[in-house]
Amino acid sequence: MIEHDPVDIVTIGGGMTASIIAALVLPSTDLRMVSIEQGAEQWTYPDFQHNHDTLKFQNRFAMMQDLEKVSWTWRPHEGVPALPMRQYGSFHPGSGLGGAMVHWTALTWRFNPTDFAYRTHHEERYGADRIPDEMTVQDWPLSYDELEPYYDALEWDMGVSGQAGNINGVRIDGGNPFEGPRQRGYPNPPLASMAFGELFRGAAERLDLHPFPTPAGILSRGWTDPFGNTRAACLYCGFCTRYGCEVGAKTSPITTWLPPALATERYEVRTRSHVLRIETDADGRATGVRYVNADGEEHFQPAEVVMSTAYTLENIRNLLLARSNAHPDGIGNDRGMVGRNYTYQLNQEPVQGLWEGRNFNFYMGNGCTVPQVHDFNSDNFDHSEVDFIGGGRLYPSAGQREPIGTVATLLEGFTDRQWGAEWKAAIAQHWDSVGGIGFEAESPAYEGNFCDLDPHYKDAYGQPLLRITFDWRENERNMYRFLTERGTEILRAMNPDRMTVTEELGGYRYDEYQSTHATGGVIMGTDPGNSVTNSYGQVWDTPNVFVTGAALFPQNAGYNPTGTVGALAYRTAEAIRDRYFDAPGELLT
Amino acid sequence: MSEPTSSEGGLSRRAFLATGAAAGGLVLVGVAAPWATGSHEEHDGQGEPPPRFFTDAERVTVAAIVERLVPGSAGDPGAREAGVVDYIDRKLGAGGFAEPTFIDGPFVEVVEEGSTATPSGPLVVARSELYRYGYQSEGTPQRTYREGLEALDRFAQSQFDGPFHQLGEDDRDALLTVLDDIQQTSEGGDDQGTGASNEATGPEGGGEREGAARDAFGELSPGQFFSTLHADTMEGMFSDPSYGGNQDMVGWTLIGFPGPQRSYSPGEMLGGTRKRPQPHDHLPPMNPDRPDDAAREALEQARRGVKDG
Repeated sequence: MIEHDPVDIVTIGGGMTASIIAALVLPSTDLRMVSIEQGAEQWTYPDFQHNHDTLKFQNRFAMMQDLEKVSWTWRPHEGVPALPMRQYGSFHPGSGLGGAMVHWTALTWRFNPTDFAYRTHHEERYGADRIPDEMTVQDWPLSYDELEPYYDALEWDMGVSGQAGNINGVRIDGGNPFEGPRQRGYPNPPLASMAFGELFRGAAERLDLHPFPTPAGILSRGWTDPFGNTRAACLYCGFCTRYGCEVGAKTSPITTWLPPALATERYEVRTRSHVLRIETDADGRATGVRYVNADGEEHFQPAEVVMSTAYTLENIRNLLLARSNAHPDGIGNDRGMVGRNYTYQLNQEPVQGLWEGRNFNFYMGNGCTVPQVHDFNSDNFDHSEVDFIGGGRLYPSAGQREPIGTVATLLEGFTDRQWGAEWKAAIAQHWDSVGGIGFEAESPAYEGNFCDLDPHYKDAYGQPLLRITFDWRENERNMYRFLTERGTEILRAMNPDRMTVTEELGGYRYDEYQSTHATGGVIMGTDPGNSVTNSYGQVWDTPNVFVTGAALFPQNAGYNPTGTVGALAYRTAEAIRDRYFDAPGELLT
Repeated sequence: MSEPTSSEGGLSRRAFLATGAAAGGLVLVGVAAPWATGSHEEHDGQGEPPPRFFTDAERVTVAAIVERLVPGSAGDPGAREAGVVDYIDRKLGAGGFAEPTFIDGPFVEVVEEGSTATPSGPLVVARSELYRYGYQSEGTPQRTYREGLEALDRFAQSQFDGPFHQLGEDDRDALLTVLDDIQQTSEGGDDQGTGASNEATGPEGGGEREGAARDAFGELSPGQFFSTLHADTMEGMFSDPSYGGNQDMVGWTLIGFPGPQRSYSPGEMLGGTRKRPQPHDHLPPMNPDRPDDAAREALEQARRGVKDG
C-alpha cells in the first residue's frame, strides 16, 4: 500500500461539489486538497470537439459510471428480492473529471421557500393530520432565506441564463411569479425558445397560467465569470444532455471551478482511481481514504477532513461501507439514520399530441430552450380539495430529439405497432410533429423507501452493492393523475390533430430511464435523532466527515436538484474555509 | 486523453456510401464470404475488416426479419437497404455486450404464475414482475441471436411449414406480431394485444400462437428476442453510417433528421433549417486555423494537478 503525505481535505469524487469546495476554499487559504475520481481526465478541448455521436453517448453510455464494476440493486418493497441494474435504466450516474455536471441538461433551480419548511408549512396550512403516517417528510435544517445568498453566488459564478420573477419581493413580468425572492436578476438573459415552446407559451397564457423561460446553466451570450473564465455562448447544436459541450457554453467544473482551483497548485485530482473506503481510527474519527488506482495498486490518502462528494448512491454506500469497531454499522449510522428518506423524482411525459404537417425542429436546441409553468409545483396552488400533497413543474417537449432513442416509442398511442409499413410511413411523416407535456414532480419520503447494503451482490472490488427499496405510493399516483389532467388541458389548448394520454401511474420501473435525481439517504437535519448530518453536510457522529450533494435532501422537490446541490456546497465551502479549521473535528454551528 | 477525430477521408466515405445500398441488397440471394456483401470497412483502406458473427444462413434470416420491421424498396429504403444486417453483424462480432453491463451472479430465478415448484435460492421473482428490473439474463446478446434465430425457425415451421426466411411477408409479419405481443404482455401490457394483433394472428387467436412461440423458444424469452432485434434494427437504421448501418443516411433522410451539425440559430429553431444531412465525420473541425498543439494551449490554461492516481 502506498501512503501519501497528509492533506487537509480529501474528497471521494472529482465532480461538481468537490470542485466548488476546491475553488472556494483553496485560493484564500494555504490548505491542500486531493480528489479521488473514478473516471478519466477530460476537457472541453480537445475531448468534446467531435462528440456528436448518439450511439456512443446515448446508447452506449460513454460518459457514465462503468456498470461492469459497480451497480446498485433494487426491489419495490421488503418482501421481494432485489436485483442489480445490469444495464442502464432508471438513472445514469456520471463519471470522469467534472462528474455528471459535464453532461447534465443544465436546468438550474432554486427550491421554493415552502420546500424547506416542508412539514411545518403543510401542517400549518392543511392541518396536522394531512401528512400520512407512512410519509416521513421533514423540515430542512435551514430556510430559503438562509440559502439565498449562496444560490445567488452560484448563479453568478455559473452565468445562469434566465428571467427573474421576484427580485426582493417585487414581481417581475415574464419570470416565475412563484419563486422565492432573489436579491438580483440572473446574470444572462434566457436562451432562445423553440417553436414548440412558443406554441406551449401561447396556450398556457390563454389558460391564465404563468409561463416563463427555463433558467439554464448554459450561456446565452459570451461571458467572463467572476473567476476570470471567458466562455462562449450556446450554439443550440442539439447534442447536450449526456454530451460534454464543445464550446464550454454549458457550465461544469471544467468551465468554471476547476481552473481557479488548479491554479492554486494546492489541488490535485487523481483520476481513474476508485475509493474503497473511508478509514477511521480507534475513536471513530476519519483518517483518510483507501483507494485503488488504474494499475490496481492500493493507496492511502490521509487527510484532516474526508468529504464524500460523489453521486447520491455512492455517498450513501461510502458511509455504510465504513464499518469499524467504533462505527459497527458505518459512519453516520450510529443511530440507524443512513439510508433513511431515500427519494427520487416523479418525472413523466404522459400527454402527447400530433400536429399534421407541422415540423417543430425538435432535433435542435436542448432541454432548456422551452418555457414552462410552475402554477402546479410545490404548494403554489391550494391543496385543500385535492387528494395529495406536493406538485411538479409542467413543461413542453424540449430540444435535442435524437433519432435512435425516439423512433421506437414516439408514436406509441398513435400507431398500433412500432414497426412495419404503417409505422414507417408514420414516423417518416411525424418524427418532428409529435410533442408532449411532461412534468417533474416531488418524491415524498416514506418509511418503506430506503437504502442499505445488499446481502447477495458485490462489486468488482468485492464490496457489497447498495440496495434500494423504493416504489411509488398513493400520494404520487394521485399527484400524477392531477398533473396529467393539467398537462392535458394545456396540450388541448395547443390544438393538436390527435392526442394520446397515459392516465395512470404504474409501479416504479428500474428498467426505464426517468431521472438521475436520486436524492436523500444521508439527510441533513436539526439533530442526530432525525438526520445523518447538520445543515453543512457534516456527519453528526463523525464530524471530520462531510457529505455533499442531493443525498442530503430530506425529501425531493419538483425541481432539478443541481441548483440546490450547488448552493449547499457553497455554504459548506464557506464554513470550512472560514471556521472549521479553527476547531477541527468540532461540529459547526 | 482522446484526440479529436480526424475529418479526413470524408470523400472516400461518401463514395463508399453510394454503393452501400446495392451491396446490402445482395444479402438475400446469398454470398459466400460473410463480409463480401458489406464493403464499408474498406473506406479507410487499412486494417482487417471488423469481425463478423452471423453465419450465411443466419444473415438470411436476420435480413428476412429486419426487412419486415422497416420494410423498403430501392426507391424507399428500409432496414435491409440501410445495411442493418451489417450493423448487427458488426455489433455482435465485436464480442460481449456493446453497452456497460453488470454480469456477475447470482441470477434471478423466475417463477411462473400459479407455479407450486419450490425455488432453489433466495432470488425468486414472478414472471409478471420481471420487466420492472430490466435486463436480468445470464446469456449474452450473441447467444440470444444464435439460439433465438433457431427458435424462430422452429416457430415458423410449427405455424407455416417452412423456415422463417422462406415465408411470405404476411406470414412473417404474423409471427413477428406474436413475438411483439408477448413482449408487450411481459411489460404489463394488455394480454389480448392490440386490435391489429388480433387481426394479424387470424382465426387461431393470439393465445394459441403465443403458446407455440413459447414452446419453440423454450428457455429463451421470445419477447426479449423480439425487443433485442427491434432495438438493434432501430440502432442500425438511425445511427451514424460509420457503424455499418444507415447507409447513405437513408434512415435520417426518412425522418428528416439532418445528422450531426455544429450549430443552429434561434431563427432556425423557430422556422426550420436548410442544412443538408451529413455523417459525423463530415462535421468541420473546431478552430481549423490552429495547429493542434497550439490550439489546446490557446483554448485552455495549463491544467497542472490532474493525473491518473
